[in-house]
Amino acid sequence: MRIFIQQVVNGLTTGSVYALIALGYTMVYGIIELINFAHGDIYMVGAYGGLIALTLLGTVRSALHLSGIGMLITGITAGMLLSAAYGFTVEKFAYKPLRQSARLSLLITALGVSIFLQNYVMIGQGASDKTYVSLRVLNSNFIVDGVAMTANQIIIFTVAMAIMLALDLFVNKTMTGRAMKAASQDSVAAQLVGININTVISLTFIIGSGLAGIAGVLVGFYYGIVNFSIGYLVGIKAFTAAVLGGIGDIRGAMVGGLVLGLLESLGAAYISSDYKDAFAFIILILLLLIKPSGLFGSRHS
Amino acid sequence: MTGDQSVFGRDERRGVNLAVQEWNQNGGVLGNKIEVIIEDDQHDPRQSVAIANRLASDGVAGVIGHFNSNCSIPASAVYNRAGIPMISHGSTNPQLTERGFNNVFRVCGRDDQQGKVAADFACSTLKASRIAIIQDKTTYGQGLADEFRRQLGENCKVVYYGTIIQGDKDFRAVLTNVKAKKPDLIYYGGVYPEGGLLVKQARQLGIKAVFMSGDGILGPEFITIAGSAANGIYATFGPDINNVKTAKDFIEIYEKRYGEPGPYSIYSYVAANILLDAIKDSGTTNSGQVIHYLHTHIFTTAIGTIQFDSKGDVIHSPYVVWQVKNGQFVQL
Amino acid sequence: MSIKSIFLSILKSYLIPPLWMFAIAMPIMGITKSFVTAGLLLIGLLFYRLLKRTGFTGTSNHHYYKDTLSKYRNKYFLKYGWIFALLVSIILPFFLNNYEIDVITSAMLYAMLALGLNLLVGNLGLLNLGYIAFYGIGAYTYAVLYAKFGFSFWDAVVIGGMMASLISMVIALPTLRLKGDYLAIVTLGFGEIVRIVFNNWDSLTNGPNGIMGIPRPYLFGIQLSTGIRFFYLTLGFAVIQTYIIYRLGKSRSGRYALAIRENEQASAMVGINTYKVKTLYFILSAFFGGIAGVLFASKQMFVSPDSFTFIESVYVLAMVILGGMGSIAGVIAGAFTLVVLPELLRGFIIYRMLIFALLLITMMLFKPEGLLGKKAYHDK
Repeated sequence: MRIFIQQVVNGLTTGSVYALIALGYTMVYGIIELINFAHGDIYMVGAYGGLIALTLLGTVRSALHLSGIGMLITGITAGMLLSAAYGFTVEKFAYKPLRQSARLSLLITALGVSIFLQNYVMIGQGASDKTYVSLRVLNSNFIVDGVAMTANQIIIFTVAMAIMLALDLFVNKTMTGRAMKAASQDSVAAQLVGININTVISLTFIIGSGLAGIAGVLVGFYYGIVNFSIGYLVGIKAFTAAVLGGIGDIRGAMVGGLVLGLLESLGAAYISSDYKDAFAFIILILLLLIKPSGLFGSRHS
Repeated sequence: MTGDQSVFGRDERRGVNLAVQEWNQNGGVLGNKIEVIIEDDQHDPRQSVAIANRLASDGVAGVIGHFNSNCSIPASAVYNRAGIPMISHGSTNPQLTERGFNNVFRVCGRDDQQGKVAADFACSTLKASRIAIIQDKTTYGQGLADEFRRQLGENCKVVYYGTIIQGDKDFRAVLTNVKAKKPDLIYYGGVYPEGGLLVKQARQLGIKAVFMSGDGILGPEFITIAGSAANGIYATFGPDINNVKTAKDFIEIYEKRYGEPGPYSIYSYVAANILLDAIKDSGTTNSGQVIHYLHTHIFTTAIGTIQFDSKGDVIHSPYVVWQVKNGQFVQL
Repeated sequence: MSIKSIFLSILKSYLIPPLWMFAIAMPIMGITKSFVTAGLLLIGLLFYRLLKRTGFTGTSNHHYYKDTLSKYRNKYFLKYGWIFALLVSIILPFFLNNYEIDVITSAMLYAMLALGLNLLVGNLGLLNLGYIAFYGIGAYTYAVLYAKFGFSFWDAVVIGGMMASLISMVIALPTLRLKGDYLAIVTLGFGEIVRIVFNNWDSLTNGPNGIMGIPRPYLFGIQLSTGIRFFYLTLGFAVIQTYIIYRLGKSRSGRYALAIRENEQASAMVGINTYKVKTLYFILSAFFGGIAGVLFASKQMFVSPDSFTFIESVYVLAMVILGGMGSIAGVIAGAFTLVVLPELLRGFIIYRMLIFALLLITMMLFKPEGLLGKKAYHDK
């Protein structure tokens, strides 16, 4: 039983990461019906953003009396900002000009952006793995009744939850948020009531990418190493999570992420660890074939 | 040369460059300057074969490498067809020299030797009775793990045998299953990118078992990745070159140019020297004669005397056990 | 328009983007490289402005049934171009060294793949992001048949193709009724699953280490062990495949496919069985992929899962896009370009993929129907 709970803890952690990234996919698809292939690589950019900021800070840490928490927050902010910037830029340069084009063109462009970002970072930062600063506060271990949890895992989960709550409130209670929601439901009608669709789209990308950036930094701390190729696989899995929850639905993305993380963890433990990555793909294919609207269904199926 | 094991590549490059430089400073070989062509196979056998074809086409005099067994084994077939001598500095899988190619040599040891040393240590010295084995499914990792398992004594039981995927970062699922079996020792067949994460995550999961692996994890990168979890783990490797008299000069020169030598730097250095010696002493780059020379002579090198047997392996290649103490690998 | 507003607009279009680019590139690339990136962007923007003035760019809505080569269509150039190309390919190996022959053979294999993928993407507008899986299935079928049962190349080549077709039938049935985007993702998933299976089904495929020692085939008693001999074998297969696809394009199915690509609903309404045509093309495309895969395994003499990654699928897709969706000559040219060019630019190897990605993006932005694209690629 303990082992089961342990696997659940592991699964919820990776699931929270998927959820954060899935939010970006789902919001973008909701508004311009594009599967943003490059989103996983935006996550990777965020991880590097955090890495660079922390490496710089590491040298002056004692001078600035930065605590572990301080480092953590700075790292996350740096990653978030860099991701948001890249997400915004990508939209402006590569997606906006193609808004009236065939869907296929957009998809292929997104592919191109994904490959571009990966190699871009590889050229800039090198092809080998880079290690994250190790923070004692994060590595502290709690063993509760035989189940081990690190502070890192708890933080990832709580941050993800907090963000979902905040996003949910934002989208439902604030003017800007509701404008975004309106635009995703019917972009033509939204424009007719005076919503500036360009601003909304940019905002969607900024927020979605920022969240992915936060996930990137959190994962950087969790595994301790990053490299330019971490975006691809996580991106596909997060996309699966978004579809699982119902593409276009924000709450769905959260639930989808957690469920996927759990399924993957339990699948790896009880069925086969070798085929761990295949689970996400299999779930994705089954979903698209049987119930493309996912758990919470949406008009976009 | 690039990718997640690029550190090994860098060490290899430096070792060879150092050797070639020394030779070129003394006039090259047979009156000619030596040119080093550096190729990158990214531990991908498809690339290694493409590279082998290219090098064979270019008519190189000899090849130092490849590093990973899954690359050197297919590439060796190409070099064999072209008759080019190949000396690997780090491929330890036994298959490399078992295919009957007379142009293939290695200056490192073999995994059947390495596995035995590890098994003896685990069973007799550490007296581990419950052993878990994890390997990364590569030619090297799987080969080593299987050799280890084969050589285990009567009192040591394998309670878990599992695999991980190279390139993966999250091994908690496998490790949690390992934890359930309560092993005394975990043996890992694989290289440092995954090895470091395995150890780190194992400790985070509260697994207290002793950890042991092979030459694939030896190096400071493993310790960087694993962090404090690295302390206490064991690994098998050749003897510490700092204790070997003949290696002193090499260490000095290397440190001055590049800093601390990596575990395989000296092996590639030695391999390059042997090749160049053979060319010089047989008076020609004609590969048939060079290969014959390599098989029939004894070489004095920085790591000691080296003589190749008919298969191309080094006669008497010792493996010893190292341990991480205070963040450094130390020979026991 | 006052001087001030002109000045401000120039500032906005040409100064701010490079500055912004510099700012965000700086953390990742360092100062010099960011500067270069920003500079390149500026050059790109200016170049684009220039092109716009000469009318080269713009969506292809205006050129509905025109294609780039329509001017030359009836000249001898095009009609006999095929014969000329064939003759050149036959005598080519005598002027090249082993390495170059190897590269050209590789290019031909990729051309076969591109032609196969073109059946779906170019002729039908269906995006298959996992096409390389069929290549892999063909290759591994031969490898396993040889390793376990000692099958020869000639036995395996047909079986390899059939295997790929069979498996494609399994996924074609459910997936072809999906919408464009979803089809793309499902095929991507399929491609990855196949690769993961290759990587993990140790007892059959020997896992990540692959299967080695596959011998070259025998033809009329001679073993095709040299590069030049294998070149001719590949050439033979490539020519046959090209011819089949050419005839297919001219046939009724070919016209149906084109109709479906332009407007699926209308085609269905005039009585075309869209489902049947799509399935046929899907299976055929897989079949060609499988055959090419058997050739590939034979050429390399070993197979490993690393050869069949997602990025390879994208690579083949890029050849189809670059060369022109639907155009046979186009995709062959695309394949050769994308194989030979990187070899020529070996010095810039780390920038290779970057340039490749930029190529994809630029093609989509400016000429989505490809360089030699036949019909306007236009649907929503």
